[in-house]
Amino acid sequence: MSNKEKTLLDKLQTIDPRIVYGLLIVALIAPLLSPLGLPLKITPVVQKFYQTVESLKPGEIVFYSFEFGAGDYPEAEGAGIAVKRHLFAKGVKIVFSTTNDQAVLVLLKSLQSAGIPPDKKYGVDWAFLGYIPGAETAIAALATDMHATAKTDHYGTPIEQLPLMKQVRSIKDVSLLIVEGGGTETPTKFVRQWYAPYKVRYLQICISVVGPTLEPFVGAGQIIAMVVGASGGAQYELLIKRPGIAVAGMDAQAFGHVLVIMFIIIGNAAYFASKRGRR
Amino acid sequence: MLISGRVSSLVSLILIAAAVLLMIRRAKQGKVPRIRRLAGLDAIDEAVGRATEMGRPVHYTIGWASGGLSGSMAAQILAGLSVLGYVGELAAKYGVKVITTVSQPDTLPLHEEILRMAYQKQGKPEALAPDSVRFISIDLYAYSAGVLGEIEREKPAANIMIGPFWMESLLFTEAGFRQGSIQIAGTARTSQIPFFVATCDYTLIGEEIFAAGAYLSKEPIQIATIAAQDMGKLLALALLISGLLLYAFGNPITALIRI
Amino acid sequence: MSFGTRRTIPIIITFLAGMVMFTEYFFKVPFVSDAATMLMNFGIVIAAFALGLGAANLLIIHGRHIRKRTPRQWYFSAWMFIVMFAFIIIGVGYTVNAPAYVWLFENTLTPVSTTTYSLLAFFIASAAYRAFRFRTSEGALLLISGVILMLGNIPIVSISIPAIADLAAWINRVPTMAGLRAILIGAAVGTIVLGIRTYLGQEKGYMGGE
Repeated sequence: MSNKEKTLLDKLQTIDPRIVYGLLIVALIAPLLSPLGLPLKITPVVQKFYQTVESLKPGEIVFYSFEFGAGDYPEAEGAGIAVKRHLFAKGVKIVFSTTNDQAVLVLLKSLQSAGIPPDKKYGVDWAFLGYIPGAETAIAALATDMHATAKTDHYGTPIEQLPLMKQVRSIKDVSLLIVEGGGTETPTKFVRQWYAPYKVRYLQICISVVGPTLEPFVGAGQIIAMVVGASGGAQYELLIKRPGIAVAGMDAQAFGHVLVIMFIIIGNAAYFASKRGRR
Repeated sequence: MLISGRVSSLVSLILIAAAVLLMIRRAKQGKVPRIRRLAGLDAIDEAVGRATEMGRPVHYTIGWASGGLSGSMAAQILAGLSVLGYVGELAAKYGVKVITTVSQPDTLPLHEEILRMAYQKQGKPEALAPDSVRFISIDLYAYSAGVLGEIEREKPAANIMIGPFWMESLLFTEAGFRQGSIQIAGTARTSQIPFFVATCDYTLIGEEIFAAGAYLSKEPIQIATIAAQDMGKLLALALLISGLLLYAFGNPITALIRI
Repeated sequence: MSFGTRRTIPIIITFLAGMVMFTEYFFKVPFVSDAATMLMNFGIVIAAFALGLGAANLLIIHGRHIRKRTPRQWYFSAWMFIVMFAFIIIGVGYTVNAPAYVWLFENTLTPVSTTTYSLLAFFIASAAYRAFRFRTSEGALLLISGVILMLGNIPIVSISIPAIADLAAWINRVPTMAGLRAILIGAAVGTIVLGIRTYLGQEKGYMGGE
């Protein structure tokens, strides 16, 4: 093998990361500007999430704990918006809360993006208890007595004055728990404090890096189902027949994955070729 | 008296505590168990030595965890801090600068005290740079960006990361790679272990970080407690296998687990 | 204060606090429950005060950079102070629900946080390209499983070749979950043993050694 060919193989094994980044930017932006509309498969776990929400009857209470901070929220934004839209469409009553102080403003933005139907009244159809400090202690306390734990809602109204909260005192009044975000710790806390003692039905929305870590809980039946990352969000948007930002991002995700796989193949091919050349 | 639903946890805890006490007793009698080498911890000497030769600092960080010492990651934070003292002593001994970046403000005094004690033990308290301990931010993304900046500016020759890490793990390892640092990392956060394994020179996986302090101290009693960890795992394995068999044969006793 | 006392007192406090929390978790004892709640409140208050310590550290270190005009650093330190005080003044003066604070949060902190998180996409690409090589058997395993999982995540591939999607799902559900559970169990046992070592005063690393 000639020296020039060897150098090329070595170069292919050590491509400058800036070239990788540049090509990845193109691969991600191009399909966003000009979507291809690649087909999407609905996975059983997202289907199960959807069916659990679909099985709710009007008037049932859903406790929705929103735990995303500003940074990682966009990955699951599509999923969160789609699930909120589905819940409002089902006519269930929703109690929102959070144990993450940064999540307050992010939740309000998410609700704005989801679009609360005009016939849904605050305090009657939904309520927001605000940020409740204390992490796992707060989560445990909410299960026992929400009124003692959150004396006012996020807007400062005593929660006894909210018609919805007259029907909800503790976990016993809750038909379904949905936790959006929280990394790996907050879902674990909800499993310990809500599922283990009370066996509440529990659904989880999370980012893709957290999905595998929470799989054991799904396998053990502690979490019924999960919607994971942008891909899960895209599937959910299709199920509720309202494609949005998650579906729009799927083409970009596909192209990004293909590019990374191509680089891996190039790197390994060059590695094997140079090994053979040295023998 | 006993809270229901926690009896089996209490029994497991007592059994593990008994194993710890047993191994400590055996260690005091001179029967110290042999522990396998942990390449990542052995490499710390090499990493600090390399930094000394290159005249570049050592960067150390224990990562980010919501709740700090009051949160569920407190054990990992303590594990990370237990290695910092060792790194500090080596840095003092070889005369190389150590920079530790902090995200949890409640650990800030611990970082300062640990490094101060380390330098004092080496008889060089004045050699500790006043800006060795740098609080960045309690916010994950601000902390990530701040540490990326520190690594770019300070160009450490060794990048040691042991503790609870979240998404910043890959950011730090890539930044360290770009500076040509030797990288040693360890975490028990399962979602981040693959990133460390793929990008670092040495990785401590899961429970190995909890053994780190004991391993580096080389004290017989502490090393004996590492063996107790293995006995705890054997207990977990025994429960797994017995549960599997009982389930396969129609499980009258697995209800005990719910006590 | 003698060296022995400096070591002994924290160990005693650690042991007593640990025993209170241990008793509170497993047993129903009224006064212990109150003591545990008090200890947890102590922790929350200490964490809040620690934020002040962190701010003081920032002031000292970045103030030094500004004073010494550290090249390529001092203007970033100055900018950090400007942003920090803007958030503090608006947040404390106008509350965190005020339009000004919300605007600051949504138009500065949120985009910057999201950008930092999105760096991962690029770093994963460069890390995967560098790390997924057939050099060793473990590397080969990482490579093959990584590629299968990525292919399973590409919708058009998982629809045209369902076997890949099924294989990716199996990798997630079986070997990955088995490995994660094993690591979780090991970490849990490790946490317990570290806790016991700390209660017994054997773990001194966090206090600066023996």
